[in-house]
Amino acid sequence: MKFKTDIRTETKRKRFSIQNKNKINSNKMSKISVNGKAQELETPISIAELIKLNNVAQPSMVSIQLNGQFVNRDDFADTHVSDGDELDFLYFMGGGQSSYQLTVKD
Amino acid sequence: MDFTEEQIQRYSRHILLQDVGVEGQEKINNGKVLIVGAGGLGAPIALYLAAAGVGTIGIIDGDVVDLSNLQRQVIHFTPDVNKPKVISAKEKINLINPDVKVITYQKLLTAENVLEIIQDYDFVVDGTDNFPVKFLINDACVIAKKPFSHGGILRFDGQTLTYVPGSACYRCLFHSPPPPNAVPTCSQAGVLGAIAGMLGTIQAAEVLKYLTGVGDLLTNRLLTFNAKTMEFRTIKSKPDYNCPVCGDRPTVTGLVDYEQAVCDIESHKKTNKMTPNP
Repeated sequence: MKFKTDIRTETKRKRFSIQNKNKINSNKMSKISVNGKAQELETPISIAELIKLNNVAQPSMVSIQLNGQFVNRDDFADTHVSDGDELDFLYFMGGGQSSYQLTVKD
Repeated sequence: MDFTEEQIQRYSRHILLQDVGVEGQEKINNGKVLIVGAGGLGAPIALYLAAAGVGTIGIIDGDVVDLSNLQRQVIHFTPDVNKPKVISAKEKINLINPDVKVITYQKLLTAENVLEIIQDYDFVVDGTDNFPVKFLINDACVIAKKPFSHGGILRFDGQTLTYVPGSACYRCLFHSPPPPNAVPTCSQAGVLGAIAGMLGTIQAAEVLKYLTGVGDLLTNRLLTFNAKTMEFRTIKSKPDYNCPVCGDRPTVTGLVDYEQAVCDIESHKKTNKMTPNP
């Protein structure tokens, strides 16, 4: 069981190093885009931190794409954004019946 | 297919289009489309597909028309209150266009009946208002290799994507439905009526494009708009290799009915969690 977990973690790490091609430098200002809008912030920053920074009202409900690729919720804290990255925050839209406080407060 | 003089008149504005013509109109008349939900989205979808002459329109909805529906469900009129929605819809579809064969299903779409119901159709349109059914439609269409249009609206926002076998499905973007207890109780959010028309009509256009083969479908893209700012965004996506239903190692191999959130005004009053909209 323990062996299998290690393999999975290793595969995850390899996948992220492929996704995050830029090396993570220590604290620099970077330009990224979130939902098409430019944001300038200090990197490295994790997706989890970015969600907080953008005041996402229901963080457990937001779905994230990084450079067109879906990011698993379990990986939000471990995935870091770097200069030039494009993120899309996607929200559930169900219809007149269901309700979510999903607005990103500007 | 031989068009009558009357049909040529009726569909003349389609026939005039170089990209559509008589051949395209024939394809529309031979098309079979299932609309899930005869509500906010289902209404404009049904109206436009009827007008276009889609040969067979299936429409599934277990509800009756409610007064609060009339604010946006433009296929239902005041005298239709308390009438089954599918009956009300069928009447209007045939008043617009007697050419259209309407098949009504006065029931809910469930894991048990979905595969059987969708199998006779060329295209499925999601006009539903809850996530369990949205995920069910997605999963069933992926499993049955059935093209479909996903759509959802809320307050002033709308989003839609089109799936054809091989393109990104709804789960590629949203891996799993939100748990029912994560939904603050009920129809508190509301929706601007016209938003339903904005989004539903986009879905209808996608259906006609699919049937005629014209243009580029909203595949591998999520079209999202905010009507307050009238900002339309297209988010590029691709099939996720980790997608639970269409990925390399699918975990969703069977269909389930996810738990529904309890959603009615009474339970909302009791919990008092939300302040009413002004």
